[in-house]
Amino acid sequence: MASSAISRRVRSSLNSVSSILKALRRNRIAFAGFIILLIYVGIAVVAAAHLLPKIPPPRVGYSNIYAPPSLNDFPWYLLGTDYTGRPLLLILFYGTPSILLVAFIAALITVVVGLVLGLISGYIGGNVDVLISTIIDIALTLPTYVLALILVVVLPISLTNDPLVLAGILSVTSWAGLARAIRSQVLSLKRREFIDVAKTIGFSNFRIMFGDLARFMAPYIFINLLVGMIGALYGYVGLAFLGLLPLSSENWGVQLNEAVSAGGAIYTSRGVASLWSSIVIIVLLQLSLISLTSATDEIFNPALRRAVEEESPMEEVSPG
Amino acid sequence: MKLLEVQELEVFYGRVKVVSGVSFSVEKGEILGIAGESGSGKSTIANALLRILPESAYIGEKSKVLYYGNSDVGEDLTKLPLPVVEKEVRWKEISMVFQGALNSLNPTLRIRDHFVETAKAHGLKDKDEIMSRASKLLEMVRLDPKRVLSSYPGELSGGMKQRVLIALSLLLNPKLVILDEPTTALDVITQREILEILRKIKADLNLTYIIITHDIALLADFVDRVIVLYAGRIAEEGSILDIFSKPLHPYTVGLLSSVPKIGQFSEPVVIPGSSPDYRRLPPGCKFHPRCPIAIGGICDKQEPYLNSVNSSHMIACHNYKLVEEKGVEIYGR
Amino acid sequence: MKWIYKRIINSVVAWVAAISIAFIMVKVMPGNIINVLIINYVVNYHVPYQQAVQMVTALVGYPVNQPLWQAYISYITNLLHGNFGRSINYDTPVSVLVANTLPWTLLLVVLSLLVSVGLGIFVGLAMAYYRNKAHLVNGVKLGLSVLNAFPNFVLGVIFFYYIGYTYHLLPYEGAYSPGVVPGLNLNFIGSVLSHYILPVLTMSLTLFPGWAFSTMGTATSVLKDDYVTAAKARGLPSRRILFSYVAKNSILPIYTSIPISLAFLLAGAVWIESIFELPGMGYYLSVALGVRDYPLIMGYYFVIITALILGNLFTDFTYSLVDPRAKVE
Repeated sequence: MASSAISRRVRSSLNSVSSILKALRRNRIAFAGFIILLIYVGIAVVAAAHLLPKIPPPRVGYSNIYAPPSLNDFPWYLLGTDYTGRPLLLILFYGTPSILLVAFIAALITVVVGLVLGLISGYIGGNVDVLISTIIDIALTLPTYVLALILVVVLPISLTNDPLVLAGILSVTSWAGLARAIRSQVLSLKRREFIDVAKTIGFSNFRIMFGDLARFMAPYIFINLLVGMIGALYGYVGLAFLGLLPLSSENWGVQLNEAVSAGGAIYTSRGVASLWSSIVIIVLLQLSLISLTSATDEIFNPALRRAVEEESPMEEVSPG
Repeated sequence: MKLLEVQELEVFYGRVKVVSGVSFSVEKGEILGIAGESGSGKSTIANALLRILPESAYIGEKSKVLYYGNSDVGEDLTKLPLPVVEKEVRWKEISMVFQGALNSLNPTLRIRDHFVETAKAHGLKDKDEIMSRASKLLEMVRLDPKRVLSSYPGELSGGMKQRVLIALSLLLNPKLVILDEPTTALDVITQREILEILRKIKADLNLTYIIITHDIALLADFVDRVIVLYAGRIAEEGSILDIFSKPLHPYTVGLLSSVPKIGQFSEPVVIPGSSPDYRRLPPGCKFHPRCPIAIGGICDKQEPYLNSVNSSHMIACHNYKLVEEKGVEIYGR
Repeated sequence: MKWIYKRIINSVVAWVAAISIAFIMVKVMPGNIINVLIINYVVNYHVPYQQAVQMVTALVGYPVNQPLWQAYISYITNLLHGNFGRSINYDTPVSVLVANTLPWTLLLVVLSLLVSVGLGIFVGLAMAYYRNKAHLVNGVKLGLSVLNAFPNFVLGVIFFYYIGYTYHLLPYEGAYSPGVVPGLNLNFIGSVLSHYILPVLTMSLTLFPGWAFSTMGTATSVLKDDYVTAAKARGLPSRRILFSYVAKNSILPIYTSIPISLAFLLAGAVWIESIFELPGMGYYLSVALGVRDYPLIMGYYFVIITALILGNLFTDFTYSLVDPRAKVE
């Protein structure tokens, strides 16, 4: 019956979740990474839900900019103030939701587009395959970050303010590698028996593609989601660091940029906290994502990953 | 004249003992077959002789592998320092022919490079001499040297690769050649050819062979003496006549009877149970859980010793007399 | 041989597509830049419309008031003649700017690639070879992951600030010391190389972990391959096995990752050259992006795309020479 089928599916998903948690606990570093990621998400949620105190207005004046850490209004001045005279810790927290959102959506776009194109191209074949493969080949030669840099400048500000658009810019060609890998994998899976069985039962092509095939590659897809986030984070912070995004001091990259430019942190010893806070908050998030990536790698079938990668060039783990 | 004498060989993979108390000797000029199912320790023994066990494995302290070569005094190969083994024993005295259809040749090196580097590793530097020797050996295995030497392994068929490996194994005039599954994964016609070549080479070059296989037909056809291995221990040992006409170990009986014979109308035997887990071996005789004639109280408590039945036949079984009497009927056939 | 033609055709198609995308970005996308430029001249500089159109034509390198297809054709023709337009910011032909800045970036990218790949392969092989010393390998793995987590510009900032600015351990500004005369003399070359130490180090430290991990992966599986055991059985010394057997078979599968690293390096140059003030394409691109100097931006885009496509082709061709298993029938 439908309800028991649904409850069976829920139970099997819960089973895999619990096995994932058990495996995480075994790999201590990955577990730490997972907790750290949760903390970031928690901060983002809290900030987005307006549960944090409001940011005080900017204050000028030597004593206010890059003020050293103090115990005022605990804990917000623990890192001192930034270049606008406002509490650094609070500002960085406020920056979390948009950064996480953009990175996640960019990764999602990468994975979804790559998956869909790879599945369709590999499974349906024929002229559709030729067309999509050509598109993939073209996209592969266009470097994601260079295009992102240019698009951010070419498009009007009204568009680039929108996190969705930003996410799209950051993922404009990053799906290509994944699409090619998935296409190869589908091509080899197509000949396997379980596909024939599914066809004989009468499953529609759609169901075979997005049900069985996608589920087979689920671990690989999940890893690519994490890797996509790492890359998108790098791009987003990088764009801000170059000053190409509208100036909003909550963005960690902007903080870093300000720290390095004239009058910034590195030219006064007081700004060191600002410099290192930006660095740590960026690197810590990347680290947690990386540790989760390698843990997922170990948990799920390593042979599967090797099989997929053998047919396509190996992707960087992180842009670094 | 004894060429090799193995005494109480023990091999450990980590903490697991996979070969235990194996002793046998090899006479000069004979063909010894080591038979057993996959995982019974046959390849492990061969690897131990050449000391090419993987890093996590080691040979037990009490083990001795005495190699006599031309002299009357045996050198214990397990105690020789590794560089000596590398340079003087491997390939010069004892060489090995791996399964050719597998990846036994470096895919990025030409065949001739394999010969040259082997010779160089043992002090032979004259490239012309190496190439002429290689060509002669390749002709001996019925390959065209001109074509094969300049090829990459990927361009050769399984049978050709097997023959290249045989030729390669003879490069430094060894006395003992170990052949690990030399005919598995080859088609029947190629198998025949390889066996013919091996016979001829042996006669021409005065070689001694150790053949490792699970192929009963190969044993019957080719070897002089057989050692039957089970769970890393010798179950039975004897001449080819002993083993095939009067097998005494229940495992040997099952092994031989599992191959259907022409004219035989009864069903082949299937030995019940599954291969042993070396981490959890049963007490007493390692075969007793699967043995149809195991004696409670004896077979599950005491491991049998290898006893001589006659000058050539040795058996490690408490109940072999019953096998002598009933033969394959112990499996209810 | 047929596949070479196929690859070349593929590359040409990709190249044309990439160029066209540049054309689209400037002419067609929302925020119509051409109009913005024209209007800028008319309104802010009180230039008559026709003249403004001509000026913008000179800027972008193709006639801007022609219908789309004609403009496109002129665009391609001009490109092939080396006319990329004129930089708004520097009032110099883009081709001149590109020619002057390309060598500096090339130096950075090539040096970084060599160091990253070399170091990465070395460390990867070592990690596979010593895989039994679990604690050592895990420590190295951890260190590599930490390096991987640093965006290259973050590491660049740290190096710039601490190694350069604060402790003056290494040069950190510009491509060569002031007062050094450029030319083929030892003084100049030495100065340039010492100024490139920090930038190359930054790029390489964040790039080589990926290579190390890939190499470790392939090397670990190669070490388990039968031909390695067979080589040991033949008495080959470990050194020979490590180089001709393990290294040779491990590097080939990851050779095709070079174009990916190249793309990453070219993009990263934008940040690194800005931080260390190297007068290369990246630095000028970042400036051009900041001031919206569209002709220059597109010029650099063109160069980067061409470099990547050529790099890809080069890798594919040389791979078949290097790997005997890929001998094309």
